[in-house]
Amino acid sequence: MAHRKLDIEGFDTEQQRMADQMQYLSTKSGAEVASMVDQKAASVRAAITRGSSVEALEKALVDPPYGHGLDAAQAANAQLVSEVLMATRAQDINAVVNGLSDDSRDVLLKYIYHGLARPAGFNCGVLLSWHERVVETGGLGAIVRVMSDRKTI
Amino acid sequence: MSILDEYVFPFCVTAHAFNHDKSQVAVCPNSNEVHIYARSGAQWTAIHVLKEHDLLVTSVDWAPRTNRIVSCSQDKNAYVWTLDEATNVWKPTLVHLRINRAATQARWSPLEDKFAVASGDKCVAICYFGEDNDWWVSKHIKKPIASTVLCVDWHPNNVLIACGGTDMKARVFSAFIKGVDQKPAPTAWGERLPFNTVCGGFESPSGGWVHSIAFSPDGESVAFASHDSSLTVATPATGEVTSVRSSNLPFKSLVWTDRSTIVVSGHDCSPMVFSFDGAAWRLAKKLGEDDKNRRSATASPSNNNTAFNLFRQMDSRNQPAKAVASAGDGSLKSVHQNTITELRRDLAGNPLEISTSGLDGRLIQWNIQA
Repeated sequence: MAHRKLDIEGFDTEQQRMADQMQYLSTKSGAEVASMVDQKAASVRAAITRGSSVEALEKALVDPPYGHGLDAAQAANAQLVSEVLMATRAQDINAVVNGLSDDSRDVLLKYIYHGLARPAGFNCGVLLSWHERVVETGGLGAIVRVMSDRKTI
Repeated sequence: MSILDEYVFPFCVTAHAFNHDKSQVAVCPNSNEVHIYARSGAQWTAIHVLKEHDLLVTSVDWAPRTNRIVSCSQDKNAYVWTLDEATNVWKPTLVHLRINRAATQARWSPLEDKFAVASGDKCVAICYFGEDNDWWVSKHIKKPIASTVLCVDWHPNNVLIACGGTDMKARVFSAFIKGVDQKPAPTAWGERLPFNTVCGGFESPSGGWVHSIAFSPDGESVAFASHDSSLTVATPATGEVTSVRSSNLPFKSLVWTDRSTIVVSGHDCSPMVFSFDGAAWRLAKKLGEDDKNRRSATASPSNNNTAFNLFRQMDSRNQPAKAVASAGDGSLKSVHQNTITELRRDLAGNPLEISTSGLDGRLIQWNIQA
């Protein structure tokens, strides 16, 4: 909008809106959240090696670092989820997706889109096969929720 | 056959409102006019065109007992139309709305002595008739609405109003007007409620604009549909707020048909019935999608043999046929072929009958139980 001369948002003095949106965001600092993710990582990797993908995925998807300025923690959590997704065998994907709760399925779809947007760092082929299964269960509504949710991972 | 009546208008119908006995309907044809059609046999014929607005008409509502129509538009105006019996012409009365942005929805109150207009000016204008100046005056509900209000619904007690909007919150306010309203009996929403009291504020799990909101018939609960494809029901008496995440595209409209049944419709082009089984709200059925008789009656040649199409698709796409949403000729399996813009119910009529209007120009009346 470089050609516009007026900044219409500047006329709006309501700061209340931003304050309301910040309510759900974490009050912890970036470093604290990053360490939380690291702690989670150990138990998630243990579950992967044990072979229980559903448990590993649920653990990885719980308490995602929502918020702004938490890039390191968000990237770390995304990599963690990606590890679980790649460690699961193709024939098990269906069972794992059905075993997830509705909440976790929505968060998983957020991570799938997060990964698809960064093809350099994620295996998009694996993500696409997960995407197919999640959308079979969650429907188009799940995709709409990923797009409309202000809580971005 | 769940469809009672179906008619295709030659334009997108963005809003509609029936009169008290469904013999006439006012429709917004996606322009700055309001058209009134009357029933003649199986057809609807245009009898009036109400031209007063300068910009797109966003909403129309017909008060059944007093026979007045309120229309509101993006030109920041609302008009109340009364039928002059002698000349059979609808005469507009200007409403002193005082909003600085577009109006998005207008609804008469249950007693039809007030109406509410939701607007992009972050307020809801509650309008009542001022005898001294012989026009409709308004009082604004402003705080703490932070953005455009998209939908409003009145509580049966004529005082409380629920609104939802683009600030992703659904709220219940008191719209008590001294001189017009009697003091209401205490409800689960509160007692002694001066104008603009916030009686409740709710959110859906993933946020998203609130497209439609409605009180249950007894006023104890409020349900709203938001853009994150969810339906949320809040009951202040028990304090519970339950959300149903649907697997469909977002809903734009919802009505309660009884205490445990909600009908929604939206971008997925079919009305859907959600019912409460005591523990949770669940999707009970979609209307109109299993009407195989109807499909074959209006079939194009390729529709006559869906088995033929099935195998042909299997050949051309080289994969086993899954349940396809289209009938092979590009049309949708549902009756509406495009987004359903409004779902309305006659509050005084049969609770099982609802009507829908869509961007495909169809106006359909359904019976949800058949």
